[in-house]
Amino acid sequence: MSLELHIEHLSRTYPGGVQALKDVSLTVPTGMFGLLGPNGAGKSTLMRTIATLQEPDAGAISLGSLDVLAEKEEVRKILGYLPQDFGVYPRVSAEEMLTHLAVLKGLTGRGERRDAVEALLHQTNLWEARKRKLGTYSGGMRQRFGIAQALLGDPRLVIVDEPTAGLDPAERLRFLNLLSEIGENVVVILSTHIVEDVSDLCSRMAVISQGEVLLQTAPQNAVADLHGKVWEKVVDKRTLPSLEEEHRVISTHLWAGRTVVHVFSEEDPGQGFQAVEADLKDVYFTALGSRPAEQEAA
Amino acid sequence: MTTLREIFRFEIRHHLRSTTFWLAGAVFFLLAFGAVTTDAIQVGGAVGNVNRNAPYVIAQFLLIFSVLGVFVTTVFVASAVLRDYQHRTDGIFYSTPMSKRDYLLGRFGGAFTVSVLIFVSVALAVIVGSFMPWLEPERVGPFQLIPYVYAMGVLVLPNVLLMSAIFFGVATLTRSMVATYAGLVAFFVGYAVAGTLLSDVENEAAAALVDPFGMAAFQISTQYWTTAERNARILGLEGGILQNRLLWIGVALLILLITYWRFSFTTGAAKGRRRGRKAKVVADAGDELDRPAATEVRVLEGFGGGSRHFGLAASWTQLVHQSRLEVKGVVKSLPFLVILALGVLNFVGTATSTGSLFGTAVHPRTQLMVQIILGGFLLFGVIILTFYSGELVWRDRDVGTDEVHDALPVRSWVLWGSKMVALAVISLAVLAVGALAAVGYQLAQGFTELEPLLYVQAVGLRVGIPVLLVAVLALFTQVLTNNKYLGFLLMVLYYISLPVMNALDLNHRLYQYSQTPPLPYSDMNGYGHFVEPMVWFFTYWGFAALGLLVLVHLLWVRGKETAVRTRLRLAVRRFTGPTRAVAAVAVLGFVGTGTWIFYNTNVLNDYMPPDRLQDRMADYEKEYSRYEGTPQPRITAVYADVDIYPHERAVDIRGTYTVRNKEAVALDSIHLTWNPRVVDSLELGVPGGRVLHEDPYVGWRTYGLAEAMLPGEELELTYRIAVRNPGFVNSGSNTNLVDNGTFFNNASYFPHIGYNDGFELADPVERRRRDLPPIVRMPSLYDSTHYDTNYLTAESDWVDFETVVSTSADQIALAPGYLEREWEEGGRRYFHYTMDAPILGFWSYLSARWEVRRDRWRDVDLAVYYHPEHAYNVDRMIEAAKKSLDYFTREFGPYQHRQVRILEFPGYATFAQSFPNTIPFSESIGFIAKLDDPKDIDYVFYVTAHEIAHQWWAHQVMGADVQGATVTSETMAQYSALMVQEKEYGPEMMRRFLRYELDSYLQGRGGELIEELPLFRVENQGYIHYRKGSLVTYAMRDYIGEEAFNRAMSRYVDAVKFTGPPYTTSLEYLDYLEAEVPERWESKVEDLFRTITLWELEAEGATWEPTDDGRYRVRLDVRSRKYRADGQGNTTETALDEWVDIGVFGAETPDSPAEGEVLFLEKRHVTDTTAVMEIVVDEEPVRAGIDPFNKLIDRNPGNNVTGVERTGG
Repeated sequence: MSLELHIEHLSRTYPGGVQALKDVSLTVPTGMFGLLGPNGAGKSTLMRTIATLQEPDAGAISLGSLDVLAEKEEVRKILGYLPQDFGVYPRVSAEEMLTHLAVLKGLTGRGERRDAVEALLHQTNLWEARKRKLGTYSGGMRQRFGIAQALLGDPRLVIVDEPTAGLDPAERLRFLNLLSEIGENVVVILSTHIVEDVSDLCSRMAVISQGEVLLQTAPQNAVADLHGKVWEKVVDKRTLPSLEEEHRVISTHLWAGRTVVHVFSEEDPGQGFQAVEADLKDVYFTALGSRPAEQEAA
Repeated sequence: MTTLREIFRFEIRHHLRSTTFWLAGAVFFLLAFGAVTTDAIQVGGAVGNVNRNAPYVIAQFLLIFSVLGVFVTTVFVASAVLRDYQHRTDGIFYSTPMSKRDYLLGRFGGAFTVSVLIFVSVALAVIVGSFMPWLEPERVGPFQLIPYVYAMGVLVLPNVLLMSAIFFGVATLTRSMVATYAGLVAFFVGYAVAGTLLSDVENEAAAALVDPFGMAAFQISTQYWTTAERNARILGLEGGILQNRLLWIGVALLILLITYWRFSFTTGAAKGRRRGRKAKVVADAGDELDRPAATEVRVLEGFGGGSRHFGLAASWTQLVHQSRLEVKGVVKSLPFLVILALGVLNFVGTATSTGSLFGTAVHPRTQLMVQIILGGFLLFGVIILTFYSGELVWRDRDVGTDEVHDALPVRSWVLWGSKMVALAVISLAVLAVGALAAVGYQLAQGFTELEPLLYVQAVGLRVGIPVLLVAVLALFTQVLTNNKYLGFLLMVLYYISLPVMNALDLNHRLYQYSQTPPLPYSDMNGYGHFVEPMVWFFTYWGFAALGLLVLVHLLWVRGKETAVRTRLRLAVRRFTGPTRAVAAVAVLGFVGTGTWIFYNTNVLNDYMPPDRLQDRMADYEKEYSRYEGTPQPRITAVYADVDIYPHERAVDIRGTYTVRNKEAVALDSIHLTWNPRVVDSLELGVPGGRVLHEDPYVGWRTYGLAEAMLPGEELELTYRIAVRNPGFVNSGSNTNLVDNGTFFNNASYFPHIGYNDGFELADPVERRRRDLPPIVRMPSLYDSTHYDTNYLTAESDWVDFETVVSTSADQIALAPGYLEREWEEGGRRYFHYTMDAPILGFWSYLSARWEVRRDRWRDVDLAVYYHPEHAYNVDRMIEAAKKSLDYFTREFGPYQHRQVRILEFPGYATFAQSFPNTIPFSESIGFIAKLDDPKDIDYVFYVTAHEIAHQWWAHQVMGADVQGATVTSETMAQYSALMVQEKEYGPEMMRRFLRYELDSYLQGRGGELIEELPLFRVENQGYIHYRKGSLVTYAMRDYIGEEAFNRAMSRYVDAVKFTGPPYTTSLEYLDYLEAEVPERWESKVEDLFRTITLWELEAEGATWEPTDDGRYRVRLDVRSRKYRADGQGNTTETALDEWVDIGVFGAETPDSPAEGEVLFLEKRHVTDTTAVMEIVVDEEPVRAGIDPFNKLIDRNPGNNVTGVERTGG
């Protein structure tokens, strides 16, 4: 049994005139799907629309035989959602809150509910801290609590929106590990602006920017496609403008105070450029086009 | 300095951009504007003929607003300091090189200035309001700037300064919003407590000083101002108000200094404030993090699983869980607890004074407790539910859990339903707390008749249901507007709309959401027939609320879509089967019950809003007042069969009037009139009469007589009247005819002969609006053409009276007269009463389930008919009756009846009234008085004595229908009661009683609507004929002695009793009085009876020195003035030629007056403004004074006595 999420020609324009989604079509199979894009790309709009919280102007979403836009009640029954920006009741403990959310997820049987909550607290390593008020949780603990609540009720569709933003490297790693444990038969959409999240976890991915899908692929394939076409050079910052005229610059970043440029080229561009192993970051920036995004590599 | 200016400007700009500022400014402006321009909104304000923009009103307005404004001021000043912590900009600001002085002064100055602006908006509202074209020009004075400047400068600015200083200090030093609000609460608690402790008249000076707002000082200085003074005077800056202002400005500056001294630029002092979303306060490198979790890769599938349920049962469980969470969140929050605590505090404060008269408390019966909950406490509940409707609806979004919650597989109705349930639970919890506070208060008072069922009915249903209805509305406004503050605003508009609608005569409860007809409670009658309409209106509004909940369901924001179009589209999509069914039930139920209510209030009954009732009264007057004074036959005998059906609230009256032509001319027509509001059907029989004119709308019929009635000729008129009270009414439900405690008099149900000026419209404003001339309250005392009618009724003089009255088998029915026979027939009880001597044309019927206590005084039967639960003071009443009969028969003359009956009736009205040998007495003015403390004034005794005195003064001596008529009834009864009371309780108690009378009289003058008259020309004005009457007669008796005073009265009774027409007048009485007044006191009759005279007597200081023979020579400096006042309260000083009490007092003893043992008390002649009195006494003097016992009318009675110091130390 293989569940697939189909997004077809989805468009959404906000009252202010911002077009958040432009004719977006995606197919998301089971497994971990990375939705990569810069801030403001329309990722959250897409996530919320799938999570029944927003209405598109046009388009359709189906999950298996479910019409996501019309059968919201049904979708919610199999949905696990971790929003990008979520708060907690500061004076309630994690265990209490999780138990409460379990009830709301339909786990009304007392014993089963307790088992589920306990299992998730263990799994997310919050067991020791389960009695603490949520207001005292650190960012990482809070995200783990977030994923715990999303996984309550054994969802078939899990949507995780920018979960690693603001986490320190150790916490981020922890969190990704947690995500990787989610079962194979579940559709998991991970939206992020951090390339490593996708490269670490996802078997499928899409790049979205300014409401448009720029690329939809498997990360290995994309990287393989770039093999031998990415060249690197350490340059003087002042020469950048002329360099950009001459070459198709993928990205620039700073390394030990010096500017490192990656360019795309089918052949060796010479001029001291050296071939480098392409990675997903190159894929991402190539997809985003020639727009430089200097700080993204950090 | 530039830094300071910049900080100051920045602060002001910040507030001017905030919604709080504009919202507060708008609310205050509108409130003040509404209060000035309508009668619907009351904030202190102008009463009577006081101008709407009188200096007094302006000052009072701004003062009250400056108290209300504390909340706004606190928000401003607290935000000025706490903003940096909250937005975590403290680090940035504090590390700049600005000075502490610039920072604090700039921030404080800015916030203070902005607060002041709010009050400027109030002043502007008054100015703008007073130019509104719809105000009656008579009530608007010319615009003057000075009163505004005074009010702002002397009253508002110091208050704002003090309050800003206090809460700026608290906020700065605690750096905590919670602590600041807690401080605010503590402040008001302290304020309320201090106010209660100092509320006694004797603590006026202390109260004036201690009240930080200067309210008490202002109130005490202006309490006796008359209309003229309120319109013209500005309080000035002296005495109490000056001391108060200086004290508190000093305190404010001190607080600012302390704040400055204690403040330092350090950050992060307070913890626990930075809660809420994304609280990254504790960078938790939690130990558990270090354990590598990724080593064992488990597959999570099935982990959070288990069997899941989405049916109705599951939804129900979810609703319960979610509601519990919501309730917990509210109940544990600070504002909830604070408001609730304030409510309880307010409850206790109110409870101590509710129902008390002359400072004497009542038994804290449950119905009184319920009244307080309904009155003040409910307000706190309403504040809580309005506030938390916003908090609850926005909680998830404010905290940031909305996306998680909205994506959960719960039904939408569980989400909004849990908010609704929480709101309901909170509201009911608040009421339960109120009830508990009430029970606690009762028990603390040693009162144990708790009536738990009444609490459930009254607090749970009577109050609970409308509160729930309002809760639904509050939820709806929040959901509809999807904006917390807009929602609040709509709710405030709703609350304001109710009184405004009533003021605009739009008072049908069919369009006043959650409103029902009033539901008065009486211990005797319970809720009686008022329950039925209430149930219907509640059902009606319940369906409306159900409809609102359907809309809530449709419009509930789930997810991130808030655009109106999208919400409407979603609403249409949500309008599915079950929702449609509920909507249909709501609409059908609403329409159905609404129709039934309309049928009752508008078809079975005449629905008349107040303005239409007043129109009808005006029509009556315009059309028929030309018949006033038209000769008509007068009633000489009354016979009536009266069948009272208490349970059906119906009465049938069949009877006859024997009428005689007492005029010198033949009469060819008879005019009959009745009250169309209460009489449902009427048949009249006039022998040989033909209806010439009929006007059932106002209740008028003219009969032409086939043969004119010759002088002296008699006729027998017959009448059949039915009063039915079908169904129920919207307002003004008849409280005379009730299940237990029927009480009505002939004036309301029986037909009248000739024009009845009792049906006229009295309110001067309403009269002006309808082009009616100013009302003539009473004809001139010197107009002898009116001496032929008495002031009670023009249609009869002295009549023979006989009646048979029946009622249900479980009740006793009473009417004036002696019981001839009592029998049962057809399951009903019949009573036949006959009067053995003629009485005035004023009789009554009562029916109730009473207990009776009987006693005898000589050959007079005494009986008190009382509600079985109200036995508390029955013995006092009998005692008072005996003592009264003793004194009155000895001093004034014989009692004309062989019995005295006191009859309790429900507290729908609060009076006692004397009919011949029959005294109906309201349950709320004596039956539940608490007379445990012998120091309290026994007003039960007083009221009883007063009513019994009326058997002489009104039922023997009847005044003509001219000014001064009530002197010979009410004032005389008042004097008589005073004498009996004095014999029972001593002069010291009388002084306390008279102090209340003085206060009532002086307050009454201030509230006079038309004109104050001297006592002998009083126009039925209570504050004059009762209150001033007490003072005047007591003082007069003091001058000429009790014997002489009583002799005048008894001779007068002897001469005029049972006479009329022509009837006696106050002039005739004064003749008898003056015959007893020695020449020396003749001017007193002028001062006390014939003019409005005020004295200003003051003891400025006193010293003593020893005399050679070991005695004490006291020198007392006194200052005296005497004024005459006109009807508007303008005073002119007049020459002094007074004999006034001069007193010297020694140490206090248990039996002495409060001043101390009387060493010397004598009247001395005073002719100069300042004088020195020399008195030699035998014991060491402690106090001395002029008119120490306040026998003369003095607006500053407190400064008549002073301490005596030894000369030279």
